[in-house]
Amino acid sequence: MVAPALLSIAIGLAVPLGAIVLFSFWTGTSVGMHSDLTASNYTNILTGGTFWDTVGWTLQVLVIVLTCSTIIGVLVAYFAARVVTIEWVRTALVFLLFVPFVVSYVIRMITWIPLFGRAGLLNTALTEAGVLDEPSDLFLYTSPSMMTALVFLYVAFIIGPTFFKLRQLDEDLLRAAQNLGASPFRTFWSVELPLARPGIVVGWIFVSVMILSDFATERIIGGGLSPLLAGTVWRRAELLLWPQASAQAVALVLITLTIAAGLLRFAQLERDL
Amino acid sequence: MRSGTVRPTPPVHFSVWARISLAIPVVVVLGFIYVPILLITLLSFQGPQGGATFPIRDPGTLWYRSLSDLSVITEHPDYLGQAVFDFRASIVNSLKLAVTTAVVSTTIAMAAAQAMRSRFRGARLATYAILLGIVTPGLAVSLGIVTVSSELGITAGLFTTGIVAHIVWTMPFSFLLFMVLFNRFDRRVEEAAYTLGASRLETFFTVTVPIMKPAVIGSFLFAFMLSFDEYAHSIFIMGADRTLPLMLVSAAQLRITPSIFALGVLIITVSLILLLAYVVNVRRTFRRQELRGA
Amino acid sequence: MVEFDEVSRRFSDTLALDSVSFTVRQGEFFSIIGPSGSGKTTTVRMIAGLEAPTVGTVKLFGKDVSAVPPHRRGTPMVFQSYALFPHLNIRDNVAYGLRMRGVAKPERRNRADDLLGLVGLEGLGDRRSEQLSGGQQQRVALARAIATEPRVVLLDEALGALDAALRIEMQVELKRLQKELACTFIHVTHDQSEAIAMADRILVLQGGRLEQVGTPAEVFARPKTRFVAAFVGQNNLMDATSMGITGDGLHKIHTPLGEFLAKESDGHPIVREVAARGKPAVYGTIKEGYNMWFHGIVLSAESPNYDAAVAYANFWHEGFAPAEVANQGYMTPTPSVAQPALEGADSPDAGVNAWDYWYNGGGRDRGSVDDIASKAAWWWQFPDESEYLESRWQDFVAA
Repeated sequence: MVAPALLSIAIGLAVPLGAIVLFSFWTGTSVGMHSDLTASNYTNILTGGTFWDTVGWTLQVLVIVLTCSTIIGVLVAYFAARVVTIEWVRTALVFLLFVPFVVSYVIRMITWIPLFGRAGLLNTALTEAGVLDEPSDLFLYTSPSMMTALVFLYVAFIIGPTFFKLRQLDEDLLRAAQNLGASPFRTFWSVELPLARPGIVVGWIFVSVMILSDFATERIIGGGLSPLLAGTVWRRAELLLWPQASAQAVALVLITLTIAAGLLRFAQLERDL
Repeated sequence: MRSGTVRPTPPVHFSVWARISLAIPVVVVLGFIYVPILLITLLSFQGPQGGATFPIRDPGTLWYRSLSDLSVITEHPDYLGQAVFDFRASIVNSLKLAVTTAVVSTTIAMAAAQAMRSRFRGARLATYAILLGIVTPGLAVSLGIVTVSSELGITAGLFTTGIVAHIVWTMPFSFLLFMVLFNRFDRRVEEAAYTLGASRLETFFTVTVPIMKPAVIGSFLFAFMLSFDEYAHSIFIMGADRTLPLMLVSAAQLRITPSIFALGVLIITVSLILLLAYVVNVRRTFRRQELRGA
Repeated sequence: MVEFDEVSRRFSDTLALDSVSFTVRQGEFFSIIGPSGSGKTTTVRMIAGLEAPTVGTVKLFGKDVSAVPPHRRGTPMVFQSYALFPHLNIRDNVAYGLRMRGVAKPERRNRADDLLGLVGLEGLGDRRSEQLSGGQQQRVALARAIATEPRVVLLDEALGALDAALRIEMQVELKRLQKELACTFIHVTHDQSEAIAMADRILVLQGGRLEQVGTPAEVFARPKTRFVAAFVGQNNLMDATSMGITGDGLHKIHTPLGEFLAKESDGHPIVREVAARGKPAVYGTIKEGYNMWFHGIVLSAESPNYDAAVAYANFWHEGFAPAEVANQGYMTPTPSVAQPALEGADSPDAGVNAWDYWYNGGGRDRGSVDDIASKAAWWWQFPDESEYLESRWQDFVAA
């Protein structure tokens, strides 16, 4: 019964990944690949400074986005789980927060353009109010705008699991903690946060994987000026430099899997699976 | 949850200031989600002369009509000679692919999750293998598939390379959903069926599947939406069959017209309706189960 | 008709069932009791085919069923959690077994409605299970199990989820149904009073091992092991030593509650043996919440590793105390029973305890040895167990 699932994983994942590992040792130009084995794709990546710059930049973006979206996400989850006490309000709020899960991020990114773009509402408003002399590119096509976009594109993936963990928790624990003299903040910090950790870390896994795989946000919102790791793979692949793209993709997969596995271990999810 | 009973006092009490300050991030997040959606909704009713920005001139449903009938815009006097995107073929492609992907991934994910319940040797390993589909960057998968297919001489397209990549992406999500819901499932209900004379197969179809209906529908909807929206697992591999996200990204990079907004509004509306219908349905089921527990 | 032959079941490193053999007869109400982890549920699941023995054979109607899957065994099971199908209404729940047998829709619906009438749920066929109370759901589960007219019905802690009053009501109901249908009920419970109230025979399991099989009276009155005495009788056990035989042939027995005399029963020569050896023995006392008669001293002859003398007693639930019996030495259990040694047995308050009470014939004056002997003799003439249990059953049904 597991066979069809494993078969589809084998065809759709194992074979392609095996292939990029193989092709990453081939030589190739944009005209075609040749099966003469070479390690030059890797030596090129590893010795060229740009690759490491990109990796460093990507990890930097990842850490910043994770930090921001964790603070925002946990606060929002906490608000929905604890501050809201009326059941239908909570349901409505969760529903509204859940929407990003089902609306394409491509569409959500496009929706930002009329607001933040050069001719967007924000720029128009600020120019007319005299705050800015001329429309600014700050809100779109810059690194901060890309990171803001990433935070709000994927924060729902932190809110969701954290919210469910917080709701699962036995409320009497909180009553007990306060009964023992803990303030709401202390209760949150010493009881709820540790117990919600698996949820938060699941969110981190999702967000990390999303960001590491994301190459469209950087292009549409970030303006393509400061490519992330996935973006560089895409650029090579677009030029049909498959062996080179493959070598970078191998690095991308390895980095992603390492981060995901590390986080998974940290989440101590074994019991839940 | 139970109406008629006294609601227990909330476990934590907050001052008004605490409530307000905790509400700020919620407002920000909701703002980042819904203000842009509101804006594109307004802009989708833009007239032919106005572009993708405010102000709105001569509002109307022109751009919505253009989605089904391109001529309303290409032949519009105010718009003659300008670049227009034709999304129609890509919508059809995306729908076909998403429906097929949803059916296939629901079926094989349910079979796999059902098998996992017996905790056979290697079940954990198989689980991790399946979940690898979520964790592996879609771009790498796409790249791998396109290189393999071109080496093997397989024509890239919706139902060759496309569906393979999409199933690898959606099936693990369906699988997780089934695993979670199977965990809550009382195995004794199936055992009761066995002892009443139902074979394993009969039990599966007369007991397990009907009880798991929320998971089946949920998996279908979720897989459908994931596939319909997926960009990374679509790039390079759709060949001549371009799907909607591919079209949208290239359109957004070239020129943004209100037709993109109109399309976005339609998709968001349909997604919301489906999600709402599902939530209502699931809540009814769960309330029923809660009543039984009470 | 159900036969276990040296059946063992191993779950990874624990032995859930250890070489258990017994036979259930046609038309019997057979209860399997034991504490949690005793293997009772494993036993009944093996009959249903939901578990397979690691070693040994399970036979149904004389045939080895190791290769027969659950759905071909015809052994419907009723679960503690009811396990009703949440997606079906009550009628379709009851008709499920018939549907699996290919009975046509109109016919199986009629049959289901008849069965709902039989369990007192007429007209509720269109309801959903969540609209019924626990007791009603349990009746539905029962109706569903008997719908295909099985020869064996398995009940796994079937009444465990019901509250006390409802449980007693359902005990009566189950017994009635079992008699009406003349089918074999195999019933698992951890509640010995439930087993005693309903069963024709009881199997006592502990730690996967068979402790005793017998009628409730046998198991209750002549426990073979210390465990059975403790679990079934819920006795407080205490150690006792025989001090020899008095001039008038009574056994003088020393317990922490004092010494007393016992008349040897014909059927149990072990009294003498124990007495002769002077080894420790075990006597039952009473537990709070139960009333108790001493029938005399009966000693188990078959206890393998204990030179046991088990005093036995009969128990009534609280609130059941026939007056004329009380006049003859009926005792009220008092917490002081659990207190150890009594030095001054005739001190009027602190020392009041069952043994003392009996010893003194309910009064404060210590009787002569003859008195005691005659009392013991009288008690020994108390109606025999089956009659007594039958009468208790009648009272029970009447109540």
